[in-house]
Amino acid sequence: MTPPATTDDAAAGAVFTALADPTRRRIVRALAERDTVTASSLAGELPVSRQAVAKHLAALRAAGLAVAEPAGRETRYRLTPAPFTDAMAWMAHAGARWDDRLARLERRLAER
Amino acid sequence: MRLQEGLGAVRRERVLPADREATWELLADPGALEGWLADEVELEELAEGAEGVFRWRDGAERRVVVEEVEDARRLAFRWEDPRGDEPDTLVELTLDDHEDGTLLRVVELPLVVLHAYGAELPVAAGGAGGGPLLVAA
Repeated sequence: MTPPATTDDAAAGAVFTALADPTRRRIVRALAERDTVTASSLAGELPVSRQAVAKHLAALRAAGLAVAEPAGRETRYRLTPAPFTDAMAWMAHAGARWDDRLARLERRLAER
Repeated sequence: MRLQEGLGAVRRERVLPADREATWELLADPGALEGWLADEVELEELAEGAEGVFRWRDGAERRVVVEEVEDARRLAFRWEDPRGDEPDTLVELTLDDHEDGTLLRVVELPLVVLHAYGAELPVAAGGAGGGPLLVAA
């Protein structure tokens, strides 16, 4: 029997939504490659405006995937990967339940 | 970390030891779903738009809405956790002939992801193409 679901599973949806956008995935990759990054430097390396980058960073922050840290006159962003773990845990949990169900289906068919 | 299209989709494939028609018999009838898909199935009929409740012995429960039924080929339904502990998801079960029986493909995708991808999903916009409702495996 698979373990019971936790409320973290509900948060998984927010993570998947945030990552459904290809630009946001590129931003996450960029964040993963260094400690912190500014919206301006991200806009310099991606084919989107600084405004668009700021909007995507806000979406990532809302999903708990990034935090903003004031540094002098600028704001630096850091990746906070814990929600990824929750999202992956939901996928593993849901997958394990399908493994159980399909094993039961296979047994039923074999018994016929 | 690998980020890719269809992120969040849980996928499973299994070759089942029966032909497609025999396998479909265990998918096409609410009574036949009981015992493998869920421990208790409360659903009057397996038809598009039908609503019901699936329950499991561990106390889990899902409200279910049947989205698509294609005879001996495909069953898709939405299910929701009334406790809100899990994301609402769309589940698609697809059957294909296989030399050793039937290939069953399962895709479970959080609805928020489906909405975020929107028209990018091949047939999320409708079944006109006859392809899978969810992203291809």
